[in-house]
Amino acid sequence: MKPVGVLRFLGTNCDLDVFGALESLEASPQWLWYEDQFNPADYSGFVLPGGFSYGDYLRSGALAAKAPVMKSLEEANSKGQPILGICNGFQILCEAQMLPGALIKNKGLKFIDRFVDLKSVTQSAWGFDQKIHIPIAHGDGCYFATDDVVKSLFDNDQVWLTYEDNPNGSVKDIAGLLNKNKNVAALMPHPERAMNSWMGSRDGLVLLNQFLELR
Amino acid sequence: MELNEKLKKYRMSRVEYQKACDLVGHELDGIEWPLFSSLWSEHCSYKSSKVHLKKFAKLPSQNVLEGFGENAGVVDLGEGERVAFKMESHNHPSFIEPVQGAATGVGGILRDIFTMNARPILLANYLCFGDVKADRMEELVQGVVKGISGYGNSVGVANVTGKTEFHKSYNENILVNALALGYYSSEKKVFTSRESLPGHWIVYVGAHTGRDGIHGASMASQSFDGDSEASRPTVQIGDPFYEKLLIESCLEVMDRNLVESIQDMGAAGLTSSSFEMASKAKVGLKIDLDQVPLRDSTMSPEDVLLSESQERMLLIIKPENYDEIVKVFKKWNLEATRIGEVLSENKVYLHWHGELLTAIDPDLLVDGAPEYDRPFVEESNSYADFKAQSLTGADYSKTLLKVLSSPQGMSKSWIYDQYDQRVGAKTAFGCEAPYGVVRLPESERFIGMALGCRPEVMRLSSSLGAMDAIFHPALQLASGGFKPVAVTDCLNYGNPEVPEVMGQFKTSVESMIEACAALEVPVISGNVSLYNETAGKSITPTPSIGMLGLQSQEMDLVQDHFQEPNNPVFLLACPQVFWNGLWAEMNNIAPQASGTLDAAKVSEFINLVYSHAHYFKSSKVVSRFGLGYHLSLMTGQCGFKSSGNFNLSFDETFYQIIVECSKETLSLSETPSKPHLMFHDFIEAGFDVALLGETTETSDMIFDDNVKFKSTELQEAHQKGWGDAFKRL
Amino acid sequence: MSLVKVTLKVMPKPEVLDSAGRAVAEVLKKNKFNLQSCRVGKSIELELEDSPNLKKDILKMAEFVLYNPLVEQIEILNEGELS
Repeated sequence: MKPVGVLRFLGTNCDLDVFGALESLEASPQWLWYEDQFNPADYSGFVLPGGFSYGDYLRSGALAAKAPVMKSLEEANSKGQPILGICNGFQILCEAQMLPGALIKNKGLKFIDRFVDLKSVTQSAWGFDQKIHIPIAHGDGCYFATDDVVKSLFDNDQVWLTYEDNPNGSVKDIAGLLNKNKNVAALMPHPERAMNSWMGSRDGLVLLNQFLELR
Repeated sequence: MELNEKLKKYRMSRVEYQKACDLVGHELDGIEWPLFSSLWSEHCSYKSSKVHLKKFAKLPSQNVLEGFGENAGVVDLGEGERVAFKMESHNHPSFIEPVQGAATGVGGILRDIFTMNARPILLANYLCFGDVKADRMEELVQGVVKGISGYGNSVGVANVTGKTEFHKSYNENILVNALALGYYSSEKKVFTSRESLPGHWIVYVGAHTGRDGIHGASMASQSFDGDSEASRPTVQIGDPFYEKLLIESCLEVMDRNLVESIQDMGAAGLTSSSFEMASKAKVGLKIDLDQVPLRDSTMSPEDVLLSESQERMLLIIKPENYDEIVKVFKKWNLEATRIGEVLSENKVYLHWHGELLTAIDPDLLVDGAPEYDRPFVEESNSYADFKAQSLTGADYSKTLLKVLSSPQGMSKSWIYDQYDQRVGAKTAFGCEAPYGVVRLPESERFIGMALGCRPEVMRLSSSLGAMDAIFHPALQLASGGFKPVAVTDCLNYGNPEVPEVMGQFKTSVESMIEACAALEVPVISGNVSLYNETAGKSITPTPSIGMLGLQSQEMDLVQDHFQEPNNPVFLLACPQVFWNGLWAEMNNIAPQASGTLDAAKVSEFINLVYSHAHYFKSSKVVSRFGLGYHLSLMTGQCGFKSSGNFNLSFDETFYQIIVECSKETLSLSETPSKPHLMFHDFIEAGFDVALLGETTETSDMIFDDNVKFKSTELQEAHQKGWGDAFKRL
Repeated sequence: MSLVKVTLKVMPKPEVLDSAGRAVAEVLKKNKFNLQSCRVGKSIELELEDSPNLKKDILKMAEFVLYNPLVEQIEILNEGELS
C-alpha cells in the first residue's frame, strides 16, 4: 500500500500526534509540506491534522486553505482519493470548499476540551454501529450551514457523525461530515487522542481504521 | 536631567548608583543608565534573595544535569530520557493586562524550555486571585484564563494540571505562575547558554523589536503605588503562532547542530540575554544595535536594549553555519539576522550606526550586581491550641454542601475545560485529577506533575506552609505510585525591605530545603517574585511548587475517584499537625493548630505510600475541609458507605490518604481475613491504618442512617459554585 | 425618539503588535500580492435611541466593555451623521 500523506501547515500542532497514530496503525505516513505540491498518485490517502494553522487568525483554516499544497490536494480530491480532516483540518477543508458549510465560534464562546459521545449517521462505507467516546478540543467547532444546505447534507447521506450531547451549538448536532462523493471526511473530535486505554479511550481506532480501510 | 530625576526614572537608589559609579570609574553616562537599571533590578539580579537561594545548592543532585543559572533545570530520568522544567511568575503584567500578561507568561516559560533543546510537552499553572467579589476580579479571572488558554492551546502544548486559589490578600496583586516541561529523547543533546567562543557570530531570530514592555524588569521590581496606570509600559503582546514557528525552527537548528548556544530574550530583553551570555561564557561581545530588526524605526538604542517584545531569540553560531541557519528559519517564515560577534576580551561593545555607545565589562553588571542580606524578623506563630470540633449530622450535611460550592471548595472546571489538556497525545490525567500525568514517548513510562503550596497553611505559619508545599504534592504523587524526582519553585512574596516579609522568605526557603532533603529531591530551577505589595499590604507568602514524579514500577494508573462497587476503603495516616483549617478561616474563626512536622517521619510515610501504590484502585490525599469533602469528590461512578462511626468535622490533619483497594488485591495479601496486614509496614512504622468503609453500587455517600448524600446533590453543589461566585462568567 | 445606527471601528493601537495582521500580510505577500502591511480589527454596530448625549453615551459603552484601551483604539465611523 502507498503511504498516507500528512499535510503540515505553519502552526499545525497535532501533526506529530496524527503521524504517530498512523505509524502505530502501520499506515506509513509521510509529510506533505504546505509550500510544496505533490503527485496524488504517490499516496493512498491524505490526512489534515488539527491545531491552529496560522494561529487561527482571520478565520480558522482560511489562511492554510490558500497554501500551495492545497492545489495538489484538490487534484487528489478530483481523483476521488480518501481525505480525512481532523479539527483544524475540517476547518481548512470547509474554507477550501471541499466540504460545504463553515465552522464558527462555539455557542458558549469558549474553547472546550472534554470527552464527548458520538454516533454515526451515514449509511455509506464510513458508517459504523457502536457509540464512540473521544475528546474534542476546539474554540471554533460550531458547524453552520444554511437550511437548504443542511437539508441536502441529510438527503445526500453526507452526515458522518453527530454529538450525543451537543457541546458547541453545531446545527443538527453535526460533528463530522462527508462530501457528496464520499471520499472526503472530516470531524471536529480528535481520534488520535483516543488510541489507548491510558488515554481514557481507544475509540479513535474505529475512526482511523475506517479511513484506512477505504484506501 | 538632574541626578535625582534620573534615579527616579531608572528606579535606582543613590547607594546603588554610587556603587555602579565606583565600578565603572566615572559618573554613569548615556546607555550605562539603562544597563545598570535593568540588570541590577531585583527581577534580573535576585539581589535580595540570592543569599538565601544559595542554600538550595546543598540538596542532593546526582540526577541533575543542569540546575540554577541555566534557562531551566534538567534532570535525568534514566533509560536515556531527560526532562527540562521550570516555573516562572508573570504577576505584575497579568494584573495590568490579564490576557496578554498571562499569555506572555506562558510564552516566556516555553522559550526557557525549548532554548535548551527540550520539546515542550506539558504546561501547568498556579493562580491566586483575590476575593471573588473584589473589584475587577471577574475581569482578571476571565482575562488570565483566556490568556493562558489562547496561548497554550494555539502553540500546542498540553496544559495538564493547575491550582487556583481565591483569597483577599491577592485582591491587588494576583499571582500567575506558569510551569513548562520539555522532553529529550535519548538521541537529543542538552543545549546551554554558556557555549560561546571568540569568532562566533551573534544571530537575532524571530519577531521584530517594538516598544513593548520597556522598563518592564525594573517595574516588576517595585510595589504597585496605585499610580501604575501612568507608569505602565506598552503592553507586550504574545503571538502563539510565532512561538510555534520558533519552537520548530529552533529545535531544528539545534537538532542539526547548527548552533552553539541559544538564549531567549526575556525580561530586560536584549540587555539581559547578551550580558548574561557573555558573563557566563567569560567572553566579550560586539553588538551592532542598528542591525536589530525593528517594528518601529524611530526607536532609540536604549529602547532596543530594553524592549521586551516577545518571541525573540539570540543565537551564538559558527560563521560557516550562517547561510544554513538563515535557510532553516526562512523555511519557517522567520528571519535570522547577524547582529554581532563574540570577542575574546571580556567586554561588551555596543554600537549604533557605527558609533560606539559603550564598552563595558559584563561582569560589572552581572556578577557585580548588589547582593543584600536584608534584615529579617522571624515569624512568631501565635495561634491557639487545636481543639477538635464535631458537628451534628444535620449541621454537617448542610455545611458540606455549602463548602462544596464555596469559592475554596467548588469545581474549577470552568477554567480547565478551556485548556487543551490532550494535545500531544501523551496525556493520561488532565486538570480534573489532583496531578497531571503524561506518558514519555520512548520508554512509555508515566511522569506526574503535582503543584504545591496551600496559601491557608502559609497564613498559619511560613515554616509549616513551606514544608507542606513540598510534602503535599509529594504525597499526591506517591498516592499514584510516582516517586518525587525534582522540584521547581516560584517564590512569590511581598516587599523584601520589610523585615517581616524577609523573615517569611528566609523561613520558607529553609523549610522547603528541610522537606526536600528528607525526601532526597533537588530543587533544579525557579524564580523569585518580590514586591507583591500594594499600598503597604503584602500578599500571603506563596512559594508555589512544581514537583515532578516518575512511575517506574509496573502498575495500572491509580484513579482519583472510586472505581468498582464493594471494594474496601482505607484511611492511611501519618498524623502530625492538626488544625481547624480553611473552613475555620472561611468562617472567620481564629486559627487553632497543634503538632509539628517531623520531616523524616513524613518522608517515611510518603515512601511507604509510594511502595504500596500498586495495591490502590483509587486514592486521594485528604487536605482542606477534611475527610468527608474528599470522599464526596471520589463518589460518582460508585458510592461510599461508612462502616463505623464517622467524625463529622471539617478539621484537617497532615497527612492522610484515602485508598480504595480491590478485593482481589486483598486476597493476595498475606491474610485475607485481616486486610490490614496488607499495610503491615505502615502499622509497624507507627502510622494509622483504618478501614473507613466500602464502595457501593449506588453512587450515594452514606456515613450513617442520618447522614447521607445523593451523588447528584454533591455534584450539583460542586458545579454550581462557579456560577454563584462569578455571575457573568 | 428616533433610532440611530452607530458603527465603531476597533483597531489594535499602532504601537502594539498585531499578530493576526502580521500573519495575514505574510500569506498575501507569499501569494504575490503587493502590500506594505495589514492590520486586523473589528467593527461593532450599535442601534440606540438618539439623544443629546449620544456621543458621550457611546464612548461610555466603549470604555465599559467594547474595547481595551491598553491595546486597542476606537473610532466612531459615522460620527458626522450623528446629531
